Amino acid sequence: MQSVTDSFNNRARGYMRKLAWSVSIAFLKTFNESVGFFTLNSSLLDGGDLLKPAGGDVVQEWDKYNFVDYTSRLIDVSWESQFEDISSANSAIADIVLDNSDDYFTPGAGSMIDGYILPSRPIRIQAGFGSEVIPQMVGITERMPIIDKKNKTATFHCIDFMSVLFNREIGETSIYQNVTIDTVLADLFAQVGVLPSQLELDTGLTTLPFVYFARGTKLRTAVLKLVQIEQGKVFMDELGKIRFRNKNNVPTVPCWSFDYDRDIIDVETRKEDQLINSVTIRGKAREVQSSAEYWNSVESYEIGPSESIIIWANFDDPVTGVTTPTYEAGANSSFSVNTQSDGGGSPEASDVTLTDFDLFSKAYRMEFTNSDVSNTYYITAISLYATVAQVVANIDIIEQDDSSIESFGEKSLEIVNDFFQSEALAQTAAQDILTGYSGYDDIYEMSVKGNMALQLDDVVSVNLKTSYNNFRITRIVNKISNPAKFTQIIKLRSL
Amino acid sequence: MRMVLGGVLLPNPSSFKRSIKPNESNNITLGGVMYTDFINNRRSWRITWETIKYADYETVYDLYFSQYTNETYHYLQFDAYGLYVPVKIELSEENIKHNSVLIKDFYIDIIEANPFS
Repeated sequence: MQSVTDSFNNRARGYMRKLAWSVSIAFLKTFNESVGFFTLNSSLLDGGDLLKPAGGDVVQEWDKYNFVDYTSRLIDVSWESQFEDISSANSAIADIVLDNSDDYFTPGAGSMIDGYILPSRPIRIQAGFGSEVIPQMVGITERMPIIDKKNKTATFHCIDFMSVLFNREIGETSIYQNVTIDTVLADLFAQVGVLPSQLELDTGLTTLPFVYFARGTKLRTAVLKLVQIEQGKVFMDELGKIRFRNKNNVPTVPCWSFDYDRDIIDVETRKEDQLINSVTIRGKAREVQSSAEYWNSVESYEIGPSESIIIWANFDDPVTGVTTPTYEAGANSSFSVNTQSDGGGSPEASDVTLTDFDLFSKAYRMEFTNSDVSNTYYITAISLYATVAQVVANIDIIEQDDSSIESFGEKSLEIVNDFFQSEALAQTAAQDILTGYSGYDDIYEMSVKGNMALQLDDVVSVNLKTSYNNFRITRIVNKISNPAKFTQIIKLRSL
Repeated sequence: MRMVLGGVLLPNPSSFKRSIKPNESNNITLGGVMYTDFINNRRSWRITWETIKYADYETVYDLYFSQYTNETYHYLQFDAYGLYVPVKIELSEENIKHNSVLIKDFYIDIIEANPFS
């Protein structure tokens, strides 16, 4: 739950609740680096500095856009967020409908922002009660607006910044050794442009001996594989801060309550539709080995007088280091040069040298130069010693809840993830999933007298007169529309 | 009682009633408890003439249509209540009597443009 004042929560409980909201968009996408938190006697009134929200300690990069307030044009706004899957990340979307009777948002109509009515414009939504509004979502407009000529409106569909980041690719092949998940996450997010101040990451519970992501891997794929190890959660909060919660950092104490008489407008109950009673986890666990001979050339390479040639060594496994080859080094990386391609001529020890080299995760590039201006030589053998992340264990486990299978039939989930470093780790993860999903737990979908401070993963107590239990919020849908209607629908799962 | 609408002094009405309409929604929980979410309130006034001369009626009629031709609201000035606010004018039906000389039971609703909290 977002930190709010007592008066905010009192208003949320009140009989008469004055709704408040704001929507601002940065169509021009100009950036104001100097934006900070408002300081009395220092900041300009109505200037760019932000009122510090309760619990907000860092101005987020998203806040530094020059946002323009469009609240007076707002007709309708809805926003929702949910956890997508088991131990996963959340996504948030929003739809805002703005008055467009003057074609202000119509592309090509010549308004002040014409030319800037484009996808990916930063947007910020806030809502609350009375004079207190709190952040609800920061994100971007996903597409061009939908212009309704008859009703004179412009509708923008928005996604949160997390969705944008997740679609980005890791810029360089990334290898990590003996790290916890939070270290990897921090580096991956840095690669897609997120500052450390925008992250709040729990320390991971597991030390991973080896983690490898090829260049071009989508950030979503990489992050979900990591959180799968610990059944953790990665999400962006309403302030735009990216958080990682390990599985021990899960709220268990209710922060809010819903009462049949006082708060619940409608409720649908059903059983969990995502039953899992059989979990298979497969993967190839790797560990980095000590330096050993790993690659040998299979052909002879001709190098003419005063010539340079490039030779590539391609590896089957990720490699963290290669000893630089030297001429006939013996029990180490080496190369041999001869006057004949079959090695039957005279060895040549000085004119052909390794002049450049580069290590990639699964390849090694060597450049050799022949300084002899008259003679052609042959590189007859290359041997590379490398520290290789080799497969040390093929993980293939299956955990089942027999009584659930007997009652409901087998409902299986297969996970393929090379970062489970041991069968024990995989079994623990599988058992965690079974504990959560092997029974038809209660799912409640309730329309409630809402509180905009509620967040995903919050625990709430629900009194339905016939039952009283605690639940976890897995989805929140909020909508403010005319006339003065605030609707909040929450999806709950029993703990 | 001196009322000026769009710069025109209105003939003395038979009645001048104010109403306040809230911009709100009432919600009922499963237990039957009601709560209200609201944004603001809006004032409106009904000015009624039991009998009005046709010439005065035409003046009001012209004010009404000039909203559309000039694409703007008029201002209501009513010093007795300290009012000077932009309003929208809506007409009632005409009940023409006595050979188009008098109009009976004619009223206008004037709705304040800006809400108040």
